[in-house]
Amino acid sequence: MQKNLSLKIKMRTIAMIVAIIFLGATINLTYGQNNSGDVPLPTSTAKPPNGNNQAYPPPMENTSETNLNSAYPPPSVTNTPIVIPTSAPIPKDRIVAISNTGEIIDFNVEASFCPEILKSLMVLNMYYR
Amino acid sequence: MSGNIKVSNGSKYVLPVTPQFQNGPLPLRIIGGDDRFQIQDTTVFPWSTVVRIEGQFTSNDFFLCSGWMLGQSTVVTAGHCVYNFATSKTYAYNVKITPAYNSAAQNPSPFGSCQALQGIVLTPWFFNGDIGYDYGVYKIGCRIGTQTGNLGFKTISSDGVGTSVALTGYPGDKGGSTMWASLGSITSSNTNSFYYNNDMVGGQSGGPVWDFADPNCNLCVVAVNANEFDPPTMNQGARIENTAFNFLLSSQQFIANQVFLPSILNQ
Repeated sequence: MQKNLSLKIKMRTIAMIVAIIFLGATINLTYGQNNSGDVPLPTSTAKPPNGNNQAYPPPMENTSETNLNSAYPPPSVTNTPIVIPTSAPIPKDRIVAISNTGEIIDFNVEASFCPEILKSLMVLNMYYR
Repeated sequence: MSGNIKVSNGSKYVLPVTPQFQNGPLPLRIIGGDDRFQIQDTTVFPWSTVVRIEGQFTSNDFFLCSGWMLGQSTVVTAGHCVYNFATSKTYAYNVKITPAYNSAAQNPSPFGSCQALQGIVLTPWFFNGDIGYDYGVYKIGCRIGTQTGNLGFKTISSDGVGTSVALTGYPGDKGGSTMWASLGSITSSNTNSFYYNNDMVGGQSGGPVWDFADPNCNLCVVAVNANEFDPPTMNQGARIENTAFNFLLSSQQFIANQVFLPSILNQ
């Protein structure tokens, strides 16, 4: 009876050892496969998705969305036309007038009639004599 | 205005315009000798066309000048009464135009006063201070010329020596508040200047120098009184030659938008 009991204990011990060995082999196999790189491993340093040395997560750029947080409603963009002060060139070949308002007055330019108008005026003058 | 232009013996004329509210030009009554004499009734045409001009070039540079009505809303004066070439190189501002001003009269400003809207000079005066172009124009903000009338102007095709001329303005030695005139004649000339022996002092700059003996137009200005010389042997006026003629003719067309008359406001 004691032999049978002793045998049972041995059998159980052996079974436990076998079970432990089996479990250990299983765990060892699992870690061996992880080292192949197919499954992501927890790392202490985060890496960017593209694998370069930039900090991760990447710094946010100053977008309009970011600015929206500073003021609501968002400041409107006024498209003010840029007015470039221009001054007409002062003719050098003739005398012109200059006013205190910056106006250049070329009083030398005389109005002239086009030939068609002159012709019609001549006809009128001939009629109304 | 341009309908009044005529040409005679090579000279071009723009005839004067009488006031719309008077019966017509009265004859020039020259009294006294060749010395200056005071115009007692400045409201009578053509004296009504002579103006007193006050203004300033800087905050502490005030001036008094004379001038004459060119059109309904335009005044002619010396260039140095519009743009100060000599010192500040600035245009005048706060310019007040008073036709026929007479401090001795019951109403010193019989036609009221007008503010200048725009002062205009020509490039030879603006850049070089050329006394041959020492004239300018003020555009004013009223139509006071309809009440005062305006002088004509003309070119003289010859050298003009011996031409009898009258000079009118507001001399400073008389207080600058009464109108005076003097008679004389042109003694010499060049392309852009007439020199004459009429008496004048400061304050009369810009006043009209007109040929009162011309049968075609005895109220046509031939020069803008501008400079005196030391010793006082002669005085100089910027001659109305072709450039000045065209400039004045062009400027004369301006008419202020203001429809009411200044005298209504100021009296």
